[in-house]
Amino acid sequence: MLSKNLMAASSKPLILAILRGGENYGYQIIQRVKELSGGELEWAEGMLYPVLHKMQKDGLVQTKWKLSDNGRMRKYYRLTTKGREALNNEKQQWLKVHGMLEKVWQPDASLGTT
Amino acid sequence: MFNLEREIGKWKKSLRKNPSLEDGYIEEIEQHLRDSIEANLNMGIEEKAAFKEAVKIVGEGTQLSSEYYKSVTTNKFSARPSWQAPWWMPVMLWNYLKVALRNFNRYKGYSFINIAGLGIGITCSVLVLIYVLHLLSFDAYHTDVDRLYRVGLNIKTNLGTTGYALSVPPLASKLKSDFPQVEETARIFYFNNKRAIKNKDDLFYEDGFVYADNEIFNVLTIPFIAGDPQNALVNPFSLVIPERISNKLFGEESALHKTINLDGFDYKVTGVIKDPPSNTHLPFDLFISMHDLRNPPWMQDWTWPGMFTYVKLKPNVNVADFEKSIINLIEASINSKSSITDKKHELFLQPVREIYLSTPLEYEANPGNPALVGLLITVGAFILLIACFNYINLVTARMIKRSKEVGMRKVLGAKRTQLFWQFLNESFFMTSFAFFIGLLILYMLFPFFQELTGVNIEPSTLFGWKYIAWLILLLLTITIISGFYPSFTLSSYSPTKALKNNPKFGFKGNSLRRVLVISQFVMSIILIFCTIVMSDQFGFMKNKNLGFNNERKLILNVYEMSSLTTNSESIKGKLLEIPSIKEVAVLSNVPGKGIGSLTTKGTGENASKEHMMYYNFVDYQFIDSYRIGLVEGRNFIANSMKDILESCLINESAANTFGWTPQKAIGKKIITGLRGTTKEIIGVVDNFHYRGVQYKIEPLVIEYDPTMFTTISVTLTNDDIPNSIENIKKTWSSIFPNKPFEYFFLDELWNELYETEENTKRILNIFTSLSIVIAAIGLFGLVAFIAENRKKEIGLRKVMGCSTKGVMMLMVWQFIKWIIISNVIAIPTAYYFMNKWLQDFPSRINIEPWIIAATFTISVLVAAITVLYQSIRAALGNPIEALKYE
Repeated sequence: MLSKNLMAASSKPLILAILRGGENYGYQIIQRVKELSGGELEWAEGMLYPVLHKMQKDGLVQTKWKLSDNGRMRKYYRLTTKGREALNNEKQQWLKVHGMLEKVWQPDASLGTT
Repeated sequence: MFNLEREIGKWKKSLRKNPSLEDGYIEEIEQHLRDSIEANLNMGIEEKAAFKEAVKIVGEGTQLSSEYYKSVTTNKFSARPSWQAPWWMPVMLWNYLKVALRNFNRYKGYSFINIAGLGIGITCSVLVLIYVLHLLSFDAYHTDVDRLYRVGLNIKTNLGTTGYALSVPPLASKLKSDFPQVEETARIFYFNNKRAIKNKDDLFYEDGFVYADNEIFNVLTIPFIAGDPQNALVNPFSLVIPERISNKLFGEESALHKTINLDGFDYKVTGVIKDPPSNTHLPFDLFISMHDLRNPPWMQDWTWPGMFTYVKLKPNVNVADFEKSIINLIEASINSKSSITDKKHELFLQPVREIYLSTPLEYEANPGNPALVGLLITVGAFILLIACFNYINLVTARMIKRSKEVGMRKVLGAKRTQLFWQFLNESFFMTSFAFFIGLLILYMLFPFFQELTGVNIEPSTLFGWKYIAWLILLLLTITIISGFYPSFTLSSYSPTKALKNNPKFGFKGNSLRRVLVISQFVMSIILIFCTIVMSDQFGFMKNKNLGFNNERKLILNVYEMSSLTTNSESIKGKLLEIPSIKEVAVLSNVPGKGIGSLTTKGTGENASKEHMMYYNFVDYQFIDSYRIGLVEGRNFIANSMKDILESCLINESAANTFGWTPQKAIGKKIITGLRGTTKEIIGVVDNFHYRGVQYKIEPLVIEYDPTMFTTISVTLTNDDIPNSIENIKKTWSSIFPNKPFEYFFLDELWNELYETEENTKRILNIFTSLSIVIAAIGLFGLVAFIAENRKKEIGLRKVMGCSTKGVMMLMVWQFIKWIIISNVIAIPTAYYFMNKWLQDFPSRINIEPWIIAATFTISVLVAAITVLYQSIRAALGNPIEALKYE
């Protein structure tokens, strides 16, 4: 299971990436994150809403209340252009981190660094 | 039956309590919850469990709320929402504190009055506390203090019983040898206590010399720095000195085994002790061996109360039984010799721990003032109560203002206990703040306090656990006294009543307020009355005709006897050569200075009569020089050997004691105490005050005995005092080259005699003024609130034609009425106690009507002035303002 801190850090790129596939509402997004994280979240699901709100405040997503098929009001989130840029940016950073970690974790590479 | 929609509704409501969850957010979370429930139901979970599981998954409200807050706040440091209590705060306390602070802020004047009054009250009570704790600490430092006793002596005659702090010299060894309960005994002999210390260039007088048995170090705790307590006073001419003298004479060097000259004799220092603490009943620290006295015959005298005798009992001794077994020890020892006297000796035990706080006995070395203790505790309690009543008064007066808050809290679900705790909390905050202010004032006043009370406390001891525990106790007591009633009442309001406009409550705030204000003023008035009576009494004592003239008398002390025995006439001659000296008298003790009593026996048909009488030894010039009236007979004749050996004077009181009129006393013979010589009474003098006016004039015998002379009394003629002193000093140095020149003026000595009384008066004055101030502050605050509450009434009255003056009178009268009631209660009470207090003074004032009038006037004036300002304001208010909203 992911640690709380890492989860918090990765929630932003995760949500952005999920939304790349089209607009979606909170419950679905969170279920998707849950799925990706291996079925279980360490923190309450409600905790992801503040993250979404923060992203909205930063202009990464837009929201819209819509009436769903089963007659309920749902708040849909959609990526903005700024959101897409942010996603690319995040992706670059995470890949960079990934590359760095990969390099140091190769068995003989650790010897060469000294 | 589980109703999903209702449960969701409840859950939503609970979320609304969180300030950062806006409706839109809640809506969104609700949808999430519903989706979750749906998913759970689809999995075949039954409805109730599905709901519970979903709620759990979504998360708890407070936590969510704080996450929401974090996502918008700019304060990244704590990220704690402002409405949330810090983690260490119990849930509602934060809110209570905030409401308390807001109230504080909104009613600054009121809060100031409340806190100032309480703060001053706290300062006073902490001062009293410190003082009382100090008094209770007396002699507690002795090891095994609960086994230490001093043997006192009651001498009973047909005239009454006199208690002596001293008992007879042979008692100590008898107790040790004959009573198995006794572990150790020791005696202290307070005699010739002031001596000139000479060492190289140092020459100075030191007070506090005593003769002591070596065992004293086994009985009392007197810690040695150098030397051996087991044999320090075994040899003659041994001397034990305190650290301060050692440092003064030898500095860093050890004083042990050094030689010091006392009044011309060489003594060897055999011990250096720590300076004695100030809280001791026995303030002596220069010990000389009892063997120096060379065992004179009176050391075996079973009738002469001359020595402090201490006993250390073995553990677990029944003290009452032991006391019973020794009570008649003296009678048993003397009855064999003479059984004709009507005098009875009874021994008693005094726990060392209690000596200082008991009523001082005759010859007490460091007499305490137990009356002052009671007085202070009373006054301290009064002031504290006055301050607490202020608090209760002001809070209850303001209850109506807070009723809406109470109603609102109750509507929102607060329980009565919660509200009770809220208001008690508030009272606690207020009290703590007042406490802080009070301690601050205390800190500033502390040096002044020390000077006033003579208490010498290191401020650091005030931070000891004992004081802190007491302070916390005091804080809680005040909180409860002042907070309980308002909290109890406020929390009892029913919300429907409380939320009404213009609520009328059934609570008895009005009559309670009346009772409190009246009791406050009762206490203040009692204090005013006591202060006036005491001042009057002390003033009376100070100005009383003493029966002798103490003006322009310069007193020189030689201390050492025998210095004046043979050469007193020549010394007088030399002093009289100084032109500004009119008269010189030589004597043993000037009036007002310590004087001793001895057994005096009658002769002939009076042979069975035996009385303790005071003795003074004077020359033929004393009576004239002091302008003491002779009722009958004649004065001593200059240098007459017959008068020296066979004559004496007595005072009227002594003549009465023997049952004589002054006329009849002349020619009678008595056996005087010092040497047991038979002397003829040649004259009877007026009852002049040879001791302070606070003492009764007891029988006095005056003898012309040059061997006892230690004091020279010089009467100056002119006002050029510095010059005269300079001349006297020159003459003194030529006569006593080895004695320091030390002098004092008799009238100054007599002023000092009333130091205790003056101190009591000063302390009482201060506390009384403070109590008046606190009560007035409270009254001021109360009037302000009442004026505000009666604003509409006053407006209406004015509209209906009442004059400004009329309104003013209405307000003032309401309070003056209370003050008059207070006076009616307080004055008889105070009168009763002060009358009792006055009975202890042999010469006393009567409580005259003017004292009652003055007390009444002061109290009414203070109240009137306090009330007037607010009344004028209320009366001058524009009725339109007051009635605008009706």
